[in-house]
Amino acid sequence: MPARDVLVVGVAALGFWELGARLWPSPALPPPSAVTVRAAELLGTGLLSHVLDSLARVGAGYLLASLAAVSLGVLLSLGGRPGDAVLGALNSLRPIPPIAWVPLAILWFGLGDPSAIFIVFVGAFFPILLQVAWALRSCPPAWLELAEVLGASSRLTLAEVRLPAALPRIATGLRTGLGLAWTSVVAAELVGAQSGLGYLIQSHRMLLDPEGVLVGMACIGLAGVGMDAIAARLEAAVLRRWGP
Amino acid sequence: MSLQIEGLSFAWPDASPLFEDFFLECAEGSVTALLGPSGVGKSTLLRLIAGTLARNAGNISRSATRHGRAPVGFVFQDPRLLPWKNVWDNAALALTAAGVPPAEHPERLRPLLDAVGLDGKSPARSLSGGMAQRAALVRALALRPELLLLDEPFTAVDPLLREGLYAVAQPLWSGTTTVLVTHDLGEAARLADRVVVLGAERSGVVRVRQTVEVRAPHPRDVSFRRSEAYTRTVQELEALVFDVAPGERAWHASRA
Repeated sequence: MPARDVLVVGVAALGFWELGARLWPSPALPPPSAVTVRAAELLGTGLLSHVLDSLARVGAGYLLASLAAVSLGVLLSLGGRPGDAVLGALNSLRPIPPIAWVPLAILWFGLGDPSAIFIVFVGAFFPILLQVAWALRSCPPAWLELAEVLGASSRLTLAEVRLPAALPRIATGLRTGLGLAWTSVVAAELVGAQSGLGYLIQSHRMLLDPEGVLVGMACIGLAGVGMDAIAARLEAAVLRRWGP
Repeated sequence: MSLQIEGLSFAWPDASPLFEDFFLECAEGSVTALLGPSGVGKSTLLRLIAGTLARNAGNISRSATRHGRAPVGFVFQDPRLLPWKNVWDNAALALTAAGVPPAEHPERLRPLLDAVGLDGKSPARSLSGGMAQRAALVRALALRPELLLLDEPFTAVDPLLREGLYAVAQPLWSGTTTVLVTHDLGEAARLADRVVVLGAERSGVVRVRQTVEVRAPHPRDVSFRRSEAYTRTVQELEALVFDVAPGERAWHASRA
């Protein structure tokens, strides 16, 4: 969808929201103008450091999840039936939402960064792992037959055929994983952190400050859109280079 | 290197046998065309020779290979170039797989690329059908194979391009024992020293129906199509193909 159309729809929605909030004022849903004023105030009192804290946790958790999921995905896709069994067992953990891991994370790592990073890891790991394993198994049989006819070793086949052929789907998995990492960090910070956007939302809820809550939500949305835009560009570059 | 197939048996899982006690011999340096209807089992036979399919019984033997030559080169009906690589890297992959040191790649690839008129830097995905098939030929021949297996490599290109490919390819594979799978009578007569006509019994088992020798020197250019040897061979093949013996499947009643 063209960015201009998105902007028009967004501005129109904000206009209706502003109008509605002024016609039917309620402390539960302040108008966008009041949220903007609150955002300007919070910028002077550490809003940026909350954003950076969340980004740092996502960066750490997502990097670890990507490395672990890609490595394990490669190993399991080459592992035959034992690999299938391990993948099946791990797949049964996938439906558990990251927030359900919060109590265990706090027990294992205590309150703070390690717990939040673990939750981000869990949120991003499974979708990336399954995408990597699926992508590696979906290599066109014609290319595998070519490698076999050429007498390529399994290592050469992996490096020169299977992995490059899987890269577009792996890139899609990494992009999906990034989105889930971002939503996971907010969930983790809602209950298990002393900083970050999730913590900001939670603390302003307790202060009965809906403008502050909405500022936190807006930051999450904007940062998420920004990260997805970067990931989409990288995914498109991978598709151009290694796509069909 | 000569090729001998003795007593070959093969069946797909949960299917009736495709080959039973099958024999074939190809002389060293000759071009043998396997001619038969689509689906009869020509490509399967080629894969059995290449060793990518496991036979149930029988023996496929090749005489001793000369030093520095890979045993088998294979060209598929589709070029099967890896689209993220350029022409050079596609061909070099075959050499790497065969254990040829990278320092030797230029001396192997450059003459072949020059012969087929391809730039090694061209991305594989930018090639036309004919160019891609020439690149696939370079990939197979760079191995300097003792045995070259061609699985309908000219079927997917138009007749004019096919003429160009015949002209380019024949000198390149000259002297290499070659097995060409085709269902094109003219192509078989044009390229082969010997045409092996395959047919299927009603049970589906593949048999050699007849062998036709084509006695004419290589390479054979487009003027060969006007020669008596070509005309006689095509007529002989037509008679064989359309003359269905009792107990055999007709050409048009193949599995495909």
